[in-house]
Amino acid sequence: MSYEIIEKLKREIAGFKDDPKFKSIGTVVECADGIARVSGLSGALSQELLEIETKNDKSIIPAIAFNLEEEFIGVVILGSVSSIGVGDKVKGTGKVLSLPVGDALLGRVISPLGEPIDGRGAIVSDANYTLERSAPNVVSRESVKEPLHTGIKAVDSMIPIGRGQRELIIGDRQTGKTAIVLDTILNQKNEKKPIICVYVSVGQKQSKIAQIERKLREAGAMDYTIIVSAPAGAPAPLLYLAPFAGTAVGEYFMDKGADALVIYDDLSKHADAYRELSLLLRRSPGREAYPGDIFYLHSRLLERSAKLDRNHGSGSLTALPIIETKLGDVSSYIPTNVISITDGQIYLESNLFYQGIRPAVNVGLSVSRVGSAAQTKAMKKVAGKLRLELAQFRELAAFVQFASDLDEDTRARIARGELLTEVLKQTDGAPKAFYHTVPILYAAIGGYMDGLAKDKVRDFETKFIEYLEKRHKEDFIKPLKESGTLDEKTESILKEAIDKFKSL
Amino acid sequence: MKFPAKNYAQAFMELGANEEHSKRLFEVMEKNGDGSQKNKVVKEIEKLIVKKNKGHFYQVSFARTSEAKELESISSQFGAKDRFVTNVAPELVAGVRIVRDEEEELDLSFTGKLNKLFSN
Repeated sequence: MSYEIIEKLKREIAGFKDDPKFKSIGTVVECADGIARVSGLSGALSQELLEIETKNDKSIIPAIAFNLEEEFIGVVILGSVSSIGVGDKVKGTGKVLSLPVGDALLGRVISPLGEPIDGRGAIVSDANYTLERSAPNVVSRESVKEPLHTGIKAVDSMIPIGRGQRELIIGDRQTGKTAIVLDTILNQKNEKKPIICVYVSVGQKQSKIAQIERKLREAGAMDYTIIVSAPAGAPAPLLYLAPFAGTAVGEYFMDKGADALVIYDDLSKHADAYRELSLLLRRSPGREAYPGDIFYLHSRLLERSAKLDRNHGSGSLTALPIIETKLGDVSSYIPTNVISITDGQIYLESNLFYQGIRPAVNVGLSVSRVGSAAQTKAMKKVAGKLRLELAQFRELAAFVQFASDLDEDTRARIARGELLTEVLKQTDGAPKAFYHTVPILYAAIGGYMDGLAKDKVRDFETKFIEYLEKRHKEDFIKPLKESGTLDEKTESILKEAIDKFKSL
Repeated sequence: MKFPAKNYAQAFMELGANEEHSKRLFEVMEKNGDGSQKNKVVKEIEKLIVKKNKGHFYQVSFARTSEAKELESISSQFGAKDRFVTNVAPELVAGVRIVRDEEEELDLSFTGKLNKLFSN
């Protein structure tokens, strides 16, 4: 690694050419709370990367031109504010903010500016991607058609996500939002066509980020994962930039023809950081004091997720934004904005969580608008009736306590609903591959598990999967994994296997 | 009430810069509690005069103290309408840095070259 760095430096020093000419400069006239006002630099562009030369410690601090006004420009500082003073010089660079991207980022934790923050050495990269970029146009896109398995039975069966889709994960604090996305990352190990995962942490505790990294590394998932971290202690500009940095990293892989997944954890904090910046820049506040362009902020970010057509490399960028609601209020400003931008949402509910239904997915309010076109055929075949059965169960759930007074048909429906709810329960950190979920759901919906006590469901599931892996790996698991379909032949094998397993 | 130095300078120039007005200007500044801004206002007036004469305001920074002969040869490079001031900035290490109208900079210093190399 050090050899590569030295060679790169040698090339740069040898090829250095200076072309001295007059360049625009400005002067800091005011500086506070991560924001500065600069006079001069009348030719600065919006979002241009600027450099502030500090007199105090002779360092160069990057900044972004945010507000272009008649006399001054409002600048967002991306470094230590304490060393900046009035009178410091500001130079334009003619560039917009970019970060180094490449395969070298895999397994690393970086800041939104692309600097490594995991103590694993420098990152050598040949390409730079701008943080702000236009979304792929209509011509270069195609419809979502390949599944992205999360490893969560409730999601893969009823709210399927496709590669290139934007699926919102929304819920109150402590409802398992991060657990869902972590399981999704972990589950990519089971996939035939791997996905590069980018986890963008916005305003999280450092300890939580360290915990996530450790968990992913222990599971071997960091081999295909990059963490972009803007912790709670970072200044608002970095929190604002983090999702854009994560998207730029994901776009690099998408442009290479690979499938990438970007997780924004979470966009509520991102909106708060943008509100802070906007208020400090004296932009007029709107609803809930957010600036007028808060919708555009998130729409331009999420529009960059796409499934590209064959002429553009067939890559894809899937987005899983997370929004934290307050007391389950999905009708507040930011949740409604992001709900309307995304292609569906997974709604997590505190009540379900405390009832022990984990993941606490509210199936009634959750929806995937484009994912069904991408759902694995076998899963579609098996889980087609699942939503309906659970909806019927929800309607009857109020009568559960009077079960003895109900007719037989209603009682059977309630029992089936309870069984399916039990089957869909899952511990976090243990994602299920779709070729394990399909036979379980087949057995549950097909009535093979009827009469099974609730506390025996988990045991049945584990042993049945073990049985299939031991006895039917070649004739059932492998063909299902390869083709993703449950044809007549594999279905009859499955039926036989269930009967045999039950007779054991 | 405090006003920016730029506004004082502009008002003064629009009235017509003469001795009488300059006396009044300082009195008004004292009355407004802006007496401490005198140097700033003078600098702004200087800039406006140079601008009015269609010249440029140059600030030349050297890494080390220059000799009178050197300064003379440098001053001969500028036009009669231009105004230039010099100062010593040891952080340049070597070379010179020229700032025109506080808006443009020509950096011929060693520090500038190093910064440019590292920014690439």
